[in-house]
Amino acid sequence: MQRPYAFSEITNFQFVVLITGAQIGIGILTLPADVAEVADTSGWISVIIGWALTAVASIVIVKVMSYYPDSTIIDVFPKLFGKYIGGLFIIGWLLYALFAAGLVFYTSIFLIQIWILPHMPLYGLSILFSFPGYLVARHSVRVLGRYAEVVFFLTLWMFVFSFFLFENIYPSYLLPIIKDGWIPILQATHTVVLSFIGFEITFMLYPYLQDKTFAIKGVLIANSLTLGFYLFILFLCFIFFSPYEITSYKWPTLNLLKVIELPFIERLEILFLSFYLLTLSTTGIPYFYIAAVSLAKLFGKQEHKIPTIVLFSFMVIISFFYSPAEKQLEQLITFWGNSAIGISYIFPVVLLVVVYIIHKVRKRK
Amino acid sequence: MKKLTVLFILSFLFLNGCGGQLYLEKTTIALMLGIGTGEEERYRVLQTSPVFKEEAEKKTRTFTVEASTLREARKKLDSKTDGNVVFGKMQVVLVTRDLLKNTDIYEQLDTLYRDPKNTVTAYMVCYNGDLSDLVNYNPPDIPRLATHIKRLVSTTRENESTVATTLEIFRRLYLDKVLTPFMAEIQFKDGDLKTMGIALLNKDGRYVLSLNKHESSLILILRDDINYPVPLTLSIESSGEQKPGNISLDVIDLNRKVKTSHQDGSFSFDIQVKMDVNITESHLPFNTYKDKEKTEKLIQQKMEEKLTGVLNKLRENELTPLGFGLQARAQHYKEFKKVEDRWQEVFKEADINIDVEVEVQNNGTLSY
Repeated sequence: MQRPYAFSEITNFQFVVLITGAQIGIGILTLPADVAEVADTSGWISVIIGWALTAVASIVIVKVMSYYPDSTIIDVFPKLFGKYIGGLFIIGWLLYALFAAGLVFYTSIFLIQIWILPHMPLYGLSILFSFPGYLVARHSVRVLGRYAEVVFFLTLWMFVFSFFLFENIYPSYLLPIIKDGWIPILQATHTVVLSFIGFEITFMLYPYLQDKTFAIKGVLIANSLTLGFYLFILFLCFIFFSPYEITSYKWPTLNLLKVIELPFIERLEILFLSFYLLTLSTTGIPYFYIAAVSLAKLFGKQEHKIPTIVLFSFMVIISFFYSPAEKQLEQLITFWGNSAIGISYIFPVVLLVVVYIIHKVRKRK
Repeated sequence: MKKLTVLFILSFLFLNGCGGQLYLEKTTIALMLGIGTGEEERYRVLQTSPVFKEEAEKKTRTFTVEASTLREARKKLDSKTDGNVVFGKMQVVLVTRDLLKNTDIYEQLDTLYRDPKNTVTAYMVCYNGDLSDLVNYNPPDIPRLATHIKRLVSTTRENESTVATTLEIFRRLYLDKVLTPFMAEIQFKDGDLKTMGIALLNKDGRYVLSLNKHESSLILILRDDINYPVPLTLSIESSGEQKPGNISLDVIDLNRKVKTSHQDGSFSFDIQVKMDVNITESHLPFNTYKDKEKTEKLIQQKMEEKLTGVLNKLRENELTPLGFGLQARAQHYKEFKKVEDRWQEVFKEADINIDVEVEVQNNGTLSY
């Protein structure tokens, strides 16, 4: 049987870092404050619950895709629902990915504007972000995988700086472990799962994975890696900032870095954010890729180079006319978040049921 | 096509952001801010900044303005200096004691925390005196005033005789319900700037009392916030046949344990301080080497007395810089939650017991 995606296969490690890269985005900067707002310092339990939910959803996605080992989700839609309804699904998927890409894109610009370049106009940064983004996103999954791999190793060192913080920490802030009962912890899970979103790109990656038996293991490793990063940052923020203080910051992780003072460098968060852009790019670029590929599919094209150009130009053109205020961006993220939870956690389960029934029926025939 | 791309990329150089350069010579870097009570406006703000011009004789320039907020002061300072005032390299934020007595200074520092370009690692220092004395203070053997004050505080901190509260720590202390803020205190003595000890603020952010260097060491011991060794000098009074005398120690290891218990809305704390000491000086009228136990007992009694003394001083004034409340919160969360908003009162009423255990590790090279 011919394997259409064999030309661009990715290794197991690339599979893992692609998913982790897509998951770790803005969340790591805001998560400690968002979680503490609802569940105080017990919030780390919510993160573990969120991880468990994500692990289940990821396995469901792999199970769905294992029925179609040589197709991405956008090939599956027409197979399942026919050309027209399938086309609608592709459009939905396209809009979702585009929205995600746009939000990551704008939030990154916004962060840079607030923390580093307050006088730089929005369009300037958006042009500067588009070029490197385009250069990666126009390629195949293999290139995305390699890029994620490089970024993963390039950004690992950032954790070293946390050692400078250990002078001024109060581990007793974490006690008692469960502060106000289980209800706030469960409520905070809603915020937490949003930071785990990104694993749904498995829908697109699966056919490219060289060793399909690794898929379940791979998604679990990727989710656990993300969990590890989140817990590390969460604990650090919780024992450094007092419970009364942490909710007063928007990006506690960056405020954490502001405290570090080295004799030869000040405002470490600038250095950190500049490198963090790489991490943010591994969140945004896969979504741009997905949107571009879906667009190409809609027009029956194999190449997605032109759609990529179109999408990035679209982002740049918007940035000339519309610069979202902080509050608007937040509302958009909330709106997107709810649809993302639907698409990443509920949709796979529904799809699995549908696929299962269809296969049963076809077998009987 | 390639040429076009290159031209296109080159056009980025003319993007707006690149035009906003900031030359070092054209900025006025505020190394120190002094905040005091103003005569016409609410605050009087003093700023010292280094001069980078070769022709200039003086290395530091000082500006004073009066304004109703800190951000406004910065704007006014901007118009007084020949460059943009930059707060990002600030070393010290000095607040006069008079101002601290009647103003909640935390609220006034808002702009320093809000604007990400500002630093939060500057030291907060309480200054007992008049801001104008600082303007005229320019001894030739002292580098820049801001760096001088920062070093003054940090060396005294190394001797465990004061605290080095940064803006960040100040915020943490202020916002935590079980803690009250504190900072180093300096003042002029015999024409020189000197670190005096710790200035303590109450929960409303207002100055209450100052502790001298000895008391400051005791506070740091009770906070378990020390770097070894901690030098201490105790004077042992005469009692019965015992003649008076002084003894100096280096605390080389210290273990503080706080046990909390709770009964009917009131808390009690059992504080155990275990310390290993080296004797560095003895004027006691007996052989400290042979009478090791007697020495230890004397030190222990004296330490208990002193620690309880300073603790009572804090409690009378409803000050909680020690953070025993952290333990109470960790161990008795439900009960604590009920009283968290009036923790200072609860702490005042609490039953506190201090136990000191001393072990002399080393007597020095002398055998008496």
